[in-house]
Amino acid sequence: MALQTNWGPEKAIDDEMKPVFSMASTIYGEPLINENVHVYKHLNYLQKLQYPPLFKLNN
Amino acid sequence: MKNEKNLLNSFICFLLLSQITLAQEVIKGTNKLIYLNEYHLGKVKELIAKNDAFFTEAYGELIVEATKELDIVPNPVTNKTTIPPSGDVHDYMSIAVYRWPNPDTEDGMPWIVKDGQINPMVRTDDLDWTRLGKMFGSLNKLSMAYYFSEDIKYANKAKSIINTGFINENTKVNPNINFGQGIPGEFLGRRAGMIEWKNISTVVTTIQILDAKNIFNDDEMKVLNTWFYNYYQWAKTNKFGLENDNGLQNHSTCYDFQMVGIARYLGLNDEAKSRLEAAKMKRTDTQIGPDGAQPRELGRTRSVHYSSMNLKVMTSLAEMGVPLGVDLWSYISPDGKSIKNAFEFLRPYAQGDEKWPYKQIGGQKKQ
Repeated sequence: MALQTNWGPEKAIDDEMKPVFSMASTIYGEPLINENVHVYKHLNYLQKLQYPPLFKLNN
Repeated sequence: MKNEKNLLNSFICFLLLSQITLAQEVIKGTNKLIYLNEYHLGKVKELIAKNDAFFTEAYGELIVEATKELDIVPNPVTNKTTIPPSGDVHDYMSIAVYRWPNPDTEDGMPWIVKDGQINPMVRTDDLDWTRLGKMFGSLNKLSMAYYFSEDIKYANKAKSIINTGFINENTKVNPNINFGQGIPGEFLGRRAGMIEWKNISTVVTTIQILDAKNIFNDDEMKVLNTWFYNYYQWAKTNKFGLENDNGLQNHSTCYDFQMVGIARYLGLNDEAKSRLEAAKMKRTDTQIGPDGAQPRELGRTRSVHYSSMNLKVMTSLAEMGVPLGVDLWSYISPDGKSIKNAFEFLRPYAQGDEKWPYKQIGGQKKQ
């Protein structure tokens, strides 16, 4: 049985959209979003390891 | 006559295996991961060794999760209780995720659409969607745990899962999705079923990581390569594959993601390259507007999910184009459509500068 929740777009943006921005910034080697948004905070452990955030690669 | 036919069949078989062996030799020569960036992975491995807190924490989580996988018994398609229309339990079978029995009729027919609302029936072990999804997830964790830790127990477990799913004659899945996302009373299978194998990328990555350490023997690699060759041919020529190839939304992007990766795995780089070149017009031009919006994804009830997912896959395709000399990232159509523009469109929402004005129904929790 699946229960519908009240999660709105904000949660989906945090869980799904922000990781895509982080991943794409890593792949293309350029920040695609204001770095103060800290999109890397929304990555799960596999995303962190497979698409390390740009600021970590540039360190 | 029969002998001549047998001889011809043997010859075709020989040619097929020669082509696959040749393809595999090409891959061995480069030994580059197709779906992941080895430079990035190597950098992370280096930083873990230097005790970088960000990555050691993530690595710790990976090891915990991958270790849990060690005790899970592989669950092949042959375990399902529903027999596919072909009568062959090795055929993958699933039901359309957003279709539900009609509440207004006694027999529930015809099934109705509830976009974005997953019918709990599709998640049961009677069918294969959840089973395959779990297998792809397990392989993702185990292959990464092996890559970063070099602990053979994770490789052995990954190998046993691949053996069960793709090598063992008694349990392996057939290389087709003829019965994916069927709708009772209407369709035995649909093109949409192919998106359920998008994460077959994890199988390819696992095979590549394990094969680089010679964890599969030659016979096992031949069986795996033949499986992938047969699946690729099915996906390229069957009705559902052709429909996806000519489609206009995320299913088609996900189709390319499988086809490009598997073509590269088989050493069919020209085919991979052609498909990526075609993606400029067939995906960027048709799916992204001049303003960067993805109208077909924005029209869904889970528009954040579909816009993000589709763009993620487009990004992966662009990354796969790099070693083949295809630049999807810089491509801009004459009227200004581009992957970069699609990010520009989403950026104000990701930054919190603007509220998402499109539909996004709540997620679903499993009970």
